[in-house]
Amino acid sequence: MLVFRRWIQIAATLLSNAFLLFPLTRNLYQGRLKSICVPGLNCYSCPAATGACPLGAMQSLFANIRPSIQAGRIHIGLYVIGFLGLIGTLIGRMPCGWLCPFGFFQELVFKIPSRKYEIPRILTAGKYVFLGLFVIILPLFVVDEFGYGQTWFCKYVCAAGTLEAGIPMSGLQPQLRHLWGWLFFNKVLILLILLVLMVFIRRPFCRMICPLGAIYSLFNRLSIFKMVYHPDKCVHCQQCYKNCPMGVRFYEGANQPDCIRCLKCMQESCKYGAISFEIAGIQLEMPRHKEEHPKVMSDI
Amino acid sequence: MKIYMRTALLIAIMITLCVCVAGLHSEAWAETGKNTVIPIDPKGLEAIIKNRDCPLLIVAMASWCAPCRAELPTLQKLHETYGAKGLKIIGVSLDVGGPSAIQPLVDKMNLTFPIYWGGEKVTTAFGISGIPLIMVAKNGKIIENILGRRPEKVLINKVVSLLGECGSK
Amino acid sequence: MPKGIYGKINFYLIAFFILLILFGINTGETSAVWEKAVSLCLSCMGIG
Repeated sequence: MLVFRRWIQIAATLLSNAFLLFPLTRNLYQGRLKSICVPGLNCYSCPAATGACPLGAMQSLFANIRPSIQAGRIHIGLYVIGFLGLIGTLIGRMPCGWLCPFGFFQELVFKIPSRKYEIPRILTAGKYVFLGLFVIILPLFVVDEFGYGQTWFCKYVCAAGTLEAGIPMSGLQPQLRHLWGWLFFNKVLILLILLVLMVFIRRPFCRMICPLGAIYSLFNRLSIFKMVYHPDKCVHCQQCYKNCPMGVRFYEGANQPDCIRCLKCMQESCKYGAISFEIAGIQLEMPRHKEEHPKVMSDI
Repeated sequence: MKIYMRTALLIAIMITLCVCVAGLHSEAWAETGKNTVIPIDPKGLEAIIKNRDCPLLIVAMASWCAPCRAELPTLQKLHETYGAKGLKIIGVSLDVGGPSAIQPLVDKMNLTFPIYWGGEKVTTAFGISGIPLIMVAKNGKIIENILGRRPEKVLINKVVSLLGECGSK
Repeated sequence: MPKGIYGKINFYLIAFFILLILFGINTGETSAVWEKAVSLCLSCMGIG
């Protein structure tokens, strides 16, 4: 199952970035597919990108709400909200664990051997601040004299944009280097800090910053695909927590906001069958290690 | 309870959106100015390039692009200063929404150089990958592409160096 | 487990979000997304 997830992650990364002719064209892909959003965080200014980043699309629609309506077009972001809501209602935060290229990248960087650290739990609320402020409120309400807002998250924060677009495009089109300013170096600095954090902390961007993960996380308890916790079988060995790519303590409750449904805990960590999932209320059990409730010291 | 909190949050986001939309000023931005944005197709644009020997700056832009909006006043200045000396500037809007998208900006900024609407046909025909893009044309050919917003001084120097013979004639 | 309630909320949410998507497509939001996605967003990349 773990290998299976890796394959899906590789396939999703390649499908989201399938325009591999970019070194020849020195340009990004401009086909019709770009009007469709991808489920993961994948910058649409990445030279290889084949779809639109839902977060970038949402911000730009929000930022242009007033002028669009004044020109008679009701573009208020419903397409993107509907897309994210539909995915969320179906599978919750599953795209983070299976389809997001930037999440995949963070898991790979975390494999670099080092001492690993845990972040204070309060920091995981940061992503909701970024969602509320940088994706919704600032693009909607901070507008210039012509009524246009800005894509605040892309412009000031998004490390995926710097990694996938800013740096490679500056390589492909050297004249962009003349435009490097404090804004670019600021974003590179954010990326560098995150790259270091990724070695020591599990998925730091997803847990503290990612507004897309924050949107999906709101649906974790509502979604049709849900994780199920069987407290009667749990021995609180904490193996699920130790192996979890998001640092979720599953034994504190299934479907926590940070659970990305990667199923690693169910397949790999829990030997006691305390973790399973259900689809539309129908429980499906397929844990790899099917063992009886373990004998504890007092039983022997 | 949390399930209700989350649903409430979702609804709150939707309501914020609705309020935002409802609160918009519906006043018309400007009555039709003298400088009306005219649709143009890639062939028309190529014809303009071919038929001109003196320097021509074709500025590809869009209403939603912040650096483009920031660059427009500079281009207007260039037009006012060097227009009589042989420089021609034309703007091409790539908005998919039609000429109506850029028109309010043209009116509000009092732009007097010609602005066309090219839309996605021009985007794909000219392979425009980023905006603002200034396509510098001379003697019927595009000789340089300047991507991204540049400081006024850089553009003035560029124009002065291009004008050369044309300016003296 | 109040499964019935969950099931109903899911059903209405899915219908609601599909409606939003259709409404968005109908008003041409896909082209609005496309036009931003096919040109380098310089300000998004921290350039310009």
